[in-house]
Amino acid sequence: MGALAVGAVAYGSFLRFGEDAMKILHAPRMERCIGCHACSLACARLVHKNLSWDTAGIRISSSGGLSTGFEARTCLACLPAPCAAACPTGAYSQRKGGGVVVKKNLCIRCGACAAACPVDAVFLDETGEPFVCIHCGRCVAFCPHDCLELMERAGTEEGDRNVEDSKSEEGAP
Amino acid sequence: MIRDHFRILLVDLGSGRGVIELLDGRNEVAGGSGLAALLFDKYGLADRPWDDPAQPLIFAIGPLTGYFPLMSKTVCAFKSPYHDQYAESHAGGRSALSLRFADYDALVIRGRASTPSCLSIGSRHLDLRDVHFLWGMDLFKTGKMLRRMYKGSGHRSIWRIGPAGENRSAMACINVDTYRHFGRLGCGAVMGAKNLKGIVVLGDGSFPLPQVKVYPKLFSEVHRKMTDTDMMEKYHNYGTTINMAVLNGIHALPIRNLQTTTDPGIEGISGETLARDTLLRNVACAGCPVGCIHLGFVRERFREENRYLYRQVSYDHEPVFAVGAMLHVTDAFEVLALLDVVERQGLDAISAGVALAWATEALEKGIVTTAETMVPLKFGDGKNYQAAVQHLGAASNDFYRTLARGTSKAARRYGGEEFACVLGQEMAGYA
Repeated sequence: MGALAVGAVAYGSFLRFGEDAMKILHAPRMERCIGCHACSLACARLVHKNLSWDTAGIRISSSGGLSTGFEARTCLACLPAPCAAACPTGAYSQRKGGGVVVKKNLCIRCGACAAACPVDAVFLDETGEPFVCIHCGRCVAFCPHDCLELMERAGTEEGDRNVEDSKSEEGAP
Repeated sequence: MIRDHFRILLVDLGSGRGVIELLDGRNEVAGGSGLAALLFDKYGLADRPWDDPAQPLIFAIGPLTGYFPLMSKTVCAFKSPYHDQYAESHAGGRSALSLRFADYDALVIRGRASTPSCLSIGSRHLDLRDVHFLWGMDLFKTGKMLRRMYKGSGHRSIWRIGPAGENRSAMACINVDTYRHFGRLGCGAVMGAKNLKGIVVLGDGSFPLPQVKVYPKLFSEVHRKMTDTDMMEKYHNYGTTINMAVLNGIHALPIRNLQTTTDPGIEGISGETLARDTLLRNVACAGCPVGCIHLGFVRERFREENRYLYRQVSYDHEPVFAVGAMLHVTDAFEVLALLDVVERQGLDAISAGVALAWATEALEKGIVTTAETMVPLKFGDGKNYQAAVQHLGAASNDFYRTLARGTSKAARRYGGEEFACVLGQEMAGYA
């Protein structure tokens, strides 16, 4: 439960640097995605306390109609992160190991982070509030096909292909 | 959280405008079905025909949609062209979650658009656009066009009709997100009668959840049971087509217009065969982690020098029973190819298959001739049936126009009522 527990306390005010804190959420097995949106709904529900598939750090879209599969829109943990560099108030600051630390109370809703993100991973709601993945990994356990994984930065997608298709005890929601 | 009332979007296609109504009754009616019935009671016109422009076309969801896994169905309610009575038909895809996030418990559409149109709604917009250029277009091409015309990939649901709906066929379905359908009792014809080619629902709203521990805990528990136990195994493993072999084994599968109920050839279109030979992958409805939608593939050699195209076709027990067993097409790829044609026309697969099974027997018995059927229908001949399905969708002649109103109506006119497999509408796949 290490990663999940750290994620649970990381959001909102400050990041507690636990031993798993620098792991990164990857979506290495999106070819298995069935488009249930359980990940987005889990992020909105557990991290942002919303019922939503938008206000989430991971969003699923079909890549040109359902017949061509799905893609995950999520933070790629840039280092340095252009969104953090663009943020004028310190609401987004560089996260050690990639990505950003978010301090919601400093945000002035200028949208500069979303504009700076090269892969459209920051969602702005209708009030201009930004939502981005904080790499807490709470969505991982809700994916029925193990598409998602919290892993070390060094992890490569090629190596991930060999991951066995089994739900770990730790990962059960 | 869940409101103590219903929030309804009422759209008038004549003016292209809508109003939002807040209705009481949350404690009186249950689920999307209850709400749909309540709305028909309020807006339906029992004494006027199904295609009267003032009749409502209703789409309703239940209170748990979005809040818990699996609650992914929308109820479509309307006055049916089959019997001119109240009917409902259900579909999944992204329809229910999109309505939830558009912040409506139901969408009620009345009136008739002045030109073929597409209605687009969301939590912050409502617009009706002229799409006359899509009229006559098959269902998949229509979907491609609408995906390009409207934004919101992944978080929207696109409902549309094919030629069958435009022609007001009683067998016309409303296709949802390519692979799901409001299939039965002709709701596609109701859209056609309203000059409505498509509906795009953008789920662009978000709602705060109560800050309590018990809700996320209960959600996780339900999610775990649906994904980590074998409760849903039937649906995500072989899917409903697992029934083909089971029913065939106990002599309960309607085959060749119910001339028999078991046949060794059924092995060629069993759930096991479909999975082994054709299954590409599974897809889910939004909000449901089960992933019961089975997508098979069929490829077609269109040129001698190894030039192929391929199609992805969703399959389930009922469509495979109807265009497979009933028409005795027992090759898995031929069944998928035939289903693909059914989809393009925007026909309900069950009704189309069972209607053509009756037509085949009627031709066998000399009640009709190829002057009526246009193609020499023959059990087992998939290519013939592909042509016939196109005639049925297009209502190519008087015979197909009559058949499209329902097998019982065709049998009443041409004869052969004793072998019309009809229980009000065309029968489902259980003898």
